[in-house]
Amino acid sequence: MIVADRVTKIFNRGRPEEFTALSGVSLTITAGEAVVLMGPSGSGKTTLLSILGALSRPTSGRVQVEGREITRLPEKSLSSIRRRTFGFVFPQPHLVRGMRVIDNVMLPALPVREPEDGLRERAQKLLERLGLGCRARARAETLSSGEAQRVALARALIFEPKIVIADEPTAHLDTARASELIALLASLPAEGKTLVIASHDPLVAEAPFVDRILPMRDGRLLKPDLSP
Amino acid sequence: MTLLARQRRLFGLALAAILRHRSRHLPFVLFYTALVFVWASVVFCTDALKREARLLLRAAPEIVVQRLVAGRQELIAAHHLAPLQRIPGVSHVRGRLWGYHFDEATGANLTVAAANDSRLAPGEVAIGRGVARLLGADAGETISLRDTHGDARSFRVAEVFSAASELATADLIEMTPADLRLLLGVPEGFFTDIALRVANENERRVVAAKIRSLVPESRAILREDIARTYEELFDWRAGLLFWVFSSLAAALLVFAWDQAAGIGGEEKREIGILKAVGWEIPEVLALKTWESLIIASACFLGGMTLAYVHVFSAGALLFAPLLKGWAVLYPRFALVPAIDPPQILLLFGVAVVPYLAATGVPCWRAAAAEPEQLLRQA
Repeated sequence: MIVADRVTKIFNRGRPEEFTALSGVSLTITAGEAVVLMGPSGSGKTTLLSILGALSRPTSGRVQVEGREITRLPEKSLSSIRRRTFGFVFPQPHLVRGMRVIDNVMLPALPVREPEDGLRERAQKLLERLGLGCRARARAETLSSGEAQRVALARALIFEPKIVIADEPTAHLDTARASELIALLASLPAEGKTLVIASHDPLVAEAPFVDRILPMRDGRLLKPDLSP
Repeated sequence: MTLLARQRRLFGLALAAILRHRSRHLPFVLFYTALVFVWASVVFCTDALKREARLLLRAAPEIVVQRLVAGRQELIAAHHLAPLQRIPGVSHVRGRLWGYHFDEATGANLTVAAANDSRLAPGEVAIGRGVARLLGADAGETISLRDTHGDARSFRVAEVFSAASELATADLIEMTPADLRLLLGVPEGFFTDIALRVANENERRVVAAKIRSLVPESRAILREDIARTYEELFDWRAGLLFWVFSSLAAALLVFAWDQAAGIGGEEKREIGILKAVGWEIPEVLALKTWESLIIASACFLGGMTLAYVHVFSAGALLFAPLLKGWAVLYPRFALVPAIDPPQILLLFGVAVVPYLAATGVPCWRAAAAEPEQLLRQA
């Protein structure tokens, strides 16, 4: 479960270019739920996702993940949460060029003391599940945009996270590729994973697996979240 | 997974990152390699010269007595040999014959000395490699030298000295004492100087003092004084070059800092991804340290290899005039390869450790930033 309580994020605080990206956002996302944050560019979706996913800290307010407040945790604990609890999918795949596909999938686990064989086997299974088993040894830069985004999803799933956070995952994909990716995302809640997606793509919002849509504008939720 | 396997993964990732950003690293790598090359050249050159000097002095007598007239060296009479031999502690006394011969054809000033042993017959010479190169003569051939009367005298080259101690023998021509007296006009009953063997190190300065009382117009030169002069001379010259290149080293550190601080968008994005997928600050730092270490080691090895070739194959073309001094003029001599491991370690410390320190802080700054901030900036 994720609970955000009056989360505010102000960039460049105290400077002329000060900008409030989030203003007192409160919400609750239950385990296994699929939630979509919808809104135009600049509405604060990405900022909210990064705070919920421990990628940045709020200026004020609190975030709890599985009953543990993460906003005041030291960096080391946040890294561990990012690695073990969350899986991230960004608008662009952000694969490391020059590296093979399977190594990109294993990237989160490279510094972890885990036997390489088991890790590689897990990465290979993930790639096969996402239809990329035959591309495991290809260089990242040789992939199509749709393939690259699926590799990014595999990378997000390498530690079997409980929560998957996807920021505009279909932003750079055509309709066919976007539909493929949505189908893959749709399988995650069934496995008990919580899914939080930021998107303004109707294909995502209208997907049958989505439990709730939270519209955003100007750093606020348009409808107060009344979930328990 | 073992620590080694983990580091191997990080090493592979760091190497791939360097290759990805090679165009950004290239100017720095060239500058760094050039600086190591210059430093290592000076060190190699100085060490080789010192080694040559030590070899040269190893065979030298402990004390040399020279007669001075008007502050200049003059021939010394043979009758001084007996009183010097009677000084307690002196094991052996020998009059030496040597001098200089100016070769007009080549403009070289050659050292001519009488052989200590009887391996040379009258009319035969042994010559150094520098002389051989200069005169184009090899063993079995004949060379011609003008005596003090201006008459040409021919000598058969019986031997060319080995390259092992070219600093000592490069410009040397050895012949029998009789031939040398004729060539340089040294009369019988005189020597150029007198060499003394004094085995006990503690007695040498006492013996030198007694020599000055026995032969007041003389000076006694101790081998250790010559050795110290050589060391200081080469150290001074090397030190001079080091100071000159220290400013370049400072520039390198500024460059390194700037390079690491000015991490580009692509690299920021990569660090942002690593942090977003759960890498901890020490893990990112380990990766960045590997990158710095690979760059520094590659530049160090490259610079050292170039310096080795420069000094020992190309005769230290760039620094020889300053480091060798007069010896570089005529005739030329080649340095014998000599590597001093502690010096290499010192060079490694001077060249690599400051670089790692200079890149460490900016990398830590990047690694400590929030992933969201890094991805946003990228």
